[in-house]
Amino acid sequence: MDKILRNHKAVLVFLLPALLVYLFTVLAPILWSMYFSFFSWDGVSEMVYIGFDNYAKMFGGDKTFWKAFSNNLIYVLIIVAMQVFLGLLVAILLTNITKGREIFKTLYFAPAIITSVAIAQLFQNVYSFEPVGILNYVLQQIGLGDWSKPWLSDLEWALTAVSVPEGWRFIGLYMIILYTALISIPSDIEEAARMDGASSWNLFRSIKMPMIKPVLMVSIIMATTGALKGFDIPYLMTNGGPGRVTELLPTYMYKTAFSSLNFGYGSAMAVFIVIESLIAVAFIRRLMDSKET
Amino acid sequence: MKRYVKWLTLALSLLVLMAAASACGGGNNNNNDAAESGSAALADRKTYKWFVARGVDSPPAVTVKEIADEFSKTHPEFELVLEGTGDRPSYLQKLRTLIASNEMPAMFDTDPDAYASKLVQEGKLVDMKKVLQDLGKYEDFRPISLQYQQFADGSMYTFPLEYGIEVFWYNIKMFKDIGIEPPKTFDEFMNVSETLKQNGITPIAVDGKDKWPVLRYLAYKPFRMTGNDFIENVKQGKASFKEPAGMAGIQFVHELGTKGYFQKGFASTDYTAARDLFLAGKTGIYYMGSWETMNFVNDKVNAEMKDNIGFFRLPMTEDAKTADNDYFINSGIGVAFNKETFDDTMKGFLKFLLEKYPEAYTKKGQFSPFNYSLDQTQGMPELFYKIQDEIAKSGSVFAVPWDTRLDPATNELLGTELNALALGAYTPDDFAELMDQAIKENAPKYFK
Repeated sequence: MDKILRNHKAVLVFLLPALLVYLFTVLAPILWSMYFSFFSWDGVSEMVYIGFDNYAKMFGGDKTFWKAFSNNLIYVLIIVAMQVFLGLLVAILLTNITKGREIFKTLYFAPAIITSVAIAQLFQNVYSFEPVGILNYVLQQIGLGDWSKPWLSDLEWALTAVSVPEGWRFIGLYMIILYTALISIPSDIEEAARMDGASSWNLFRSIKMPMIKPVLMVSIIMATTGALKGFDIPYLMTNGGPGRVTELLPTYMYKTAFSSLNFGYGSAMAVFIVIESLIAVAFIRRLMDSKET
Repeated sequence: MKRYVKWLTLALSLLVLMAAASACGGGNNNNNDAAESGSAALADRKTYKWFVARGVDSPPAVTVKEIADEFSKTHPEFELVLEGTGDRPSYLQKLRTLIASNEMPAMFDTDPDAYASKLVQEGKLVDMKKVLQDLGKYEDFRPISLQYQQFADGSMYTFPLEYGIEVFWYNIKMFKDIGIEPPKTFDEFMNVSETLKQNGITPIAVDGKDKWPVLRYLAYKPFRMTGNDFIENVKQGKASFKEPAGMAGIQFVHELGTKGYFQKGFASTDYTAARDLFLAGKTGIYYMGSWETMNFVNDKVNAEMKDNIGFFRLPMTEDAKTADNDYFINSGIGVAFNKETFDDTMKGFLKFLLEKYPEAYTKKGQFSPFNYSLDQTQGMPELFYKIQDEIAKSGSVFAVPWDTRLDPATNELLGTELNALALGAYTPDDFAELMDQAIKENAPKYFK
């Protein structure tokens, strides 16, 4: 085995198929989108080369694009907050119990394996106003009937309402990742700190946090890029509506390409989403690294 | 504990396997297709795909499939396969993606919209007017059902499977209890809505999720004031939404929405949910086509509602240019044929279909686009005969749905923003400006 691993050619041979698949399924479509983004094409007529016009429109006058962009940022904030920070909180609580830990882990993880369509349907019922859904029912029962509203068609609340299901569903995933990181911290470090009189909060802030930082960073990056690509649940629940209140960049891109039949402009947005995700990753890495020093 | 872990591992690995299997399944399907068409070529059997916009279990689709199976018995070389979804936006997206990647189905559903006219320009569709005339079937249809399938220039590339008039259905008992009459004018319509609301009843149930039902409300007043002139002009930028007809429509939707005459949360209510609100007696009025007639009388409707549903026509305005028996009439989304796959077998099937369809379809309690009606001896529900009478009385001018006229990009925008207008996110003036801008930008690409 050792011998094989030392042979670089052999390693390359094993890596090559995966690389090819990656190039074919990830890189090629991106390049293809870049190519399309320089054209005006409706899918039926001839393609017309228009240079950077699509990009000019995107950065210049398209208010919907910027509306979708800012919606997307709020969506990312809510989701990262829910997935990573609630996930971390649950993970910490899990390390403090011994009985029934596995059951809780499984229960919290369950939403992550339910399909988006089912989750969208589930939350549509939760938010429903007429017939009254669980959320509004509970509000009415605890005397907050004034707060009950049709959440998914409320101009102020719809964006939050579509963000929460996506955040909720992957809390369990990040819980597992962070929990694994937390229990891999050697217990003698913890015991030493306790002996020196560290409180639980100090223990967490000065010892556990720095030790799980790499994992935390990966989690934040995964949650952020996941949310930047957010599509299925908002699309299924509100289809971007009412108006453009819950329009995200990916849903707007999809509609532009496949409903408005502007494949070129849609591709330009796709390219923007790729670049935006790369910038976000770089930004998070800088942020986390600079904290270290 | 150990046992539990074992089970978990087993469950997880099963899950992974399932995911892997379903991924393979996707790949396998394609292989099967290829294999099937391979063996089909051997047996000289051709599979034609009909991409359906109505859901494969809808009455038109079921009827066509039954007739196709009957045809296959005598013509073993023919097989019709149905694929589709009743969710219109996603249907259109799939269809357009298929066509953009050069995989146009042999038969598919489309309205005579701007996109279809592009396909005609590219020479991809069969000239249906000519085919129907050649087959001697052109005269068998109700004239309006064919007019509805035509483009503005009178050419026709689709044929209809349905026929429907659109009316306001209302809850008879509810109206009687409060002491109101079905409205004849839009002023009365607003009064009726207000009275219902005062009595603690949501006046109107509307499906905001599919967009077109709200779009109808925008079109009512312009149709009464100008016939179809307004939409035919405004779609090309030859008229403005700021004109009286446009503003009347916009203000109407704005008022209905902001005064709370639509049910709360209408923007995310879907088709069946809206209908169920009305059938559950929670709203007084529900606007929908006659294709729903049988759903109002079947066994699933609660006993209280059964003989309690009436209908009234589209209200009038003072200066109306269209008569009170002119309203939205349509023959549904039409069926188009791919020119490349329209061979003699397909033509034979079409002829067979046109002969069998009227009777088979009407017996399902539906209204057919053919000159064919059932008499009282057939024992259909009373509401069915009432609508059948109304169809016989309807006028010769019919309102065209706006979403079959506007270019795709403006249509997308209008559908999305109209809900926002009704929720009060725009003033009517701002909305008119927004639409004018959109048409200015998008229309020139489609209407040259």
